[in-house]
Amino acid sequence: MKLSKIRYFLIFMGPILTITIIFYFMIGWCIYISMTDWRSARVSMKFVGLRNYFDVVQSREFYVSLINNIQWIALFMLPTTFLGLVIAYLIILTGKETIFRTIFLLPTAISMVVAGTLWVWMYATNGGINTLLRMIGLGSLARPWLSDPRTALYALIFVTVWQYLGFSIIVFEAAIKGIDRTLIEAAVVDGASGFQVFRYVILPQVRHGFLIAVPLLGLSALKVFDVVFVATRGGPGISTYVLAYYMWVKAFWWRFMADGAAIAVILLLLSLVLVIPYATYALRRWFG
Amino acid sequence: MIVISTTIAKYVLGGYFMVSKVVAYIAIAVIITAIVVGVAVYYLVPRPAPPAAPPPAKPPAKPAPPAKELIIYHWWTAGGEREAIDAVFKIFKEKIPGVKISENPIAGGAGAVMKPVIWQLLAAGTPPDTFQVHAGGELKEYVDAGYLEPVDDVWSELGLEKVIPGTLQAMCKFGGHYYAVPINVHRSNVLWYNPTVFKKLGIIEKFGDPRTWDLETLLKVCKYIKENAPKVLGKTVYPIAVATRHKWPLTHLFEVLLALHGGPEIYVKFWTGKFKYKDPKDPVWKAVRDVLRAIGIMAKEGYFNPDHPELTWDQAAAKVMKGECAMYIHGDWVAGYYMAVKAKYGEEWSAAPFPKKIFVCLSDCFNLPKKAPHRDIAIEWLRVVGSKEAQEKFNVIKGSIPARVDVKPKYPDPYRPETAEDWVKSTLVPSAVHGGLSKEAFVTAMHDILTYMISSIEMGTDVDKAVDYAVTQIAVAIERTGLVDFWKGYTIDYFITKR
Repeated sequence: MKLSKIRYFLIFMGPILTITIIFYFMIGWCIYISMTDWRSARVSMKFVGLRNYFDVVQSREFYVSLINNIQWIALFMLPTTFLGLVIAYLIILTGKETIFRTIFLLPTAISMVVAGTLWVWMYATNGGINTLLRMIGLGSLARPWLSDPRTALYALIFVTVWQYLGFSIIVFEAAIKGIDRTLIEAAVVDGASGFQVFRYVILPQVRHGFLIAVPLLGLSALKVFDVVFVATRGGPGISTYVLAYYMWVKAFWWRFMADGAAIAVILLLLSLVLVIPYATYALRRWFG
Repeated sequence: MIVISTTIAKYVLGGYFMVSKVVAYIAIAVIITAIVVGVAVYYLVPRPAPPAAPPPAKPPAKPAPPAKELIIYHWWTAGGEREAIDAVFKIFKEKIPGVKISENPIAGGAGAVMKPVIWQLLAAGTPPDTFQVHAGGELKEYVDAGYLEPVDDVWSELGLEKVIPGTLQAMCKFGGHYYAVPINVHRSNVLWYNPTVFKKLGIIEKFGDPRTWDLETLLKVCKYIKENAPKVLGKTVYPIAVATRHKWPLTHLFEVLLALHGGPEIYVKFWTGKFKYKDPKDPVWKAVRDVLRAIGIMAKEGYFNPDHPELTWDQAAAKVMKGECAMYIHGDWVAGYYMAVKAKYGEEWSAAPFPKKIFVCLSDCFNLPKKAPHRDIAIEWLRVVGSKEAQEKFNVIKGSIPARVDVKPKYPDPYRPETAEDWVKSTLVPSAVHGGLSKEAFVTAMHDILTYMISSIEMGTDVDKAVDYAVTQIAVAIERTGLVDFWKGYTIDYFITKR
């Protein structure tokens, strides 16, 4: 039985094309909505150009959200990546990978809604963390983590670090295991210490691990919504607003679909800023 | 097997790469053309706009699906609520034997999660048979969008106009037609207090019945409690409990204080944007400023429990019950909470309408979407919702009072008889925070403005400065949310039942 090449092509490309068309149609539709006057429950498609974008970027919530998102990317992506790498290395050194991997991966398996609720209890004025601090004699550090606008954002960022660390560990574990063992053995024979092996042999060879982890973590930080919605709804005040939450508020509570779509498009553009350099670098490295 | 699959893969991939260049160009061209044509056809081909006027009461074609099913969406999932709606389902099933009720309960207080789901169903043209909605502005948004059918027949058949007070009628009636049947009434303006704390501090002897307090007295009481509780009770008692994790309870406090301080007219003018909001000298602004300043002072002086950003409304109610806070200004579902946790009335909790002379009301109701798949069953459901029997059974369990004034159940708690009495005797206005009066966009903006205000005051900002900023933000919000246009054609008297 021999199928023609065209038929193979159709079998494989048909679904891919359909999905692609729908996918890009959705994006196109979202971009179009962002330029309409759909600002009530009634669907309205009158073209208004970039008005919604101007309105959105002029709002106070937008700036707070943008700055929070940038902080979120920096304070979430870097520690998660590096901790992931270090812990992955340590786990491999212990030789008890299965146990540790499971332990670190568990938080990743918990849904963000559950995790958010749990952490609200942990962070509460009389919650887990403060009780623990008082028990070990560090009562002066106890504070209402989520009630204080100065700490609320960082408390939420920590929740995402806790949640995504397992993912990062898995990625780096695989990357480290992909290194040719003879290189490590040679370094050990030459008298390199554990740290030196890590610094001079492993670190340079897990770059593709970074290539996977950094953009994906960056995108999760940019899209973060659930933990904010569950834990603080952007509060206290608007101190933990992020773009995705602002988009939800505008689209579903204000029912300003057009403004929500405008924020979505801005989010998309910001994501592209993260993804395009990654994609070009990765493609050049692996296929260039 | 492996060999075969590898060969096929190789062949296919090889084939793919062989034709790749030409086909890839074709594929890209197809995608682009499809998108462009799709977008063009979608937007350029004129489509009939959704009708603004209410449609004829009966649709031309009868729905095809087999009878006897009711697809219903509601958000009553918590203890007490669940049992209440089940009681109505029971009555409905007795009335229409064999009917299948396809329930879609979506948890989340006040429908925060359910509403986006409903909007999507309606926009997609696949509505349920009926869904829960707050009477008033929230209902009007669906009516304006052309998603609902009038239910005038049900109203006239049940004679609801005679037994439902004017304000609640207004909250269901837009453009001369009724669009929903209310099942219950909650009161938003209630002051919950801890009687033990009040008794020990002698609050009522000193300041009189809370039912008659004004804004100034409330602040004096707060000050008195804050100063004297440590001496008398030996512990800090925060005078006012508030919960801002979900933000709206603070707006709720604002709403009640505005009704208390400004009276019904100013209250309605503010929430419908029917005042000169660009003129800072407008009397509405004066009342709003007074209330904002009072809330600001509460935040500044530490009258609020400091952990409010991590609490939800029920946790704040618990603080009053435990005596950690003295008072809580919130709706009467708090009574349902206290009864559910078996708190002792007169010892752990007590309640006073605040103020007594005004009843800020909200109501849950059911409606009839256009293109409802089982329209006849849905109308039967609405008849049940509006019936005496269902209103009595539902409300006794739910902790609310019937919308109909001719239903007089025996309440198991000491709180509700007074509410039921006030429902007939007090001046009625709709609650803005609970979908009755305002536009949701504006109320949402208010949540952020108010929580931002108290959060900045708690961080050290001067009260007057924070209030000024909040006022400018509110004016911007009135403008940007389209509040004024939303209520065009309605006078403030439409919403007020003066007594």
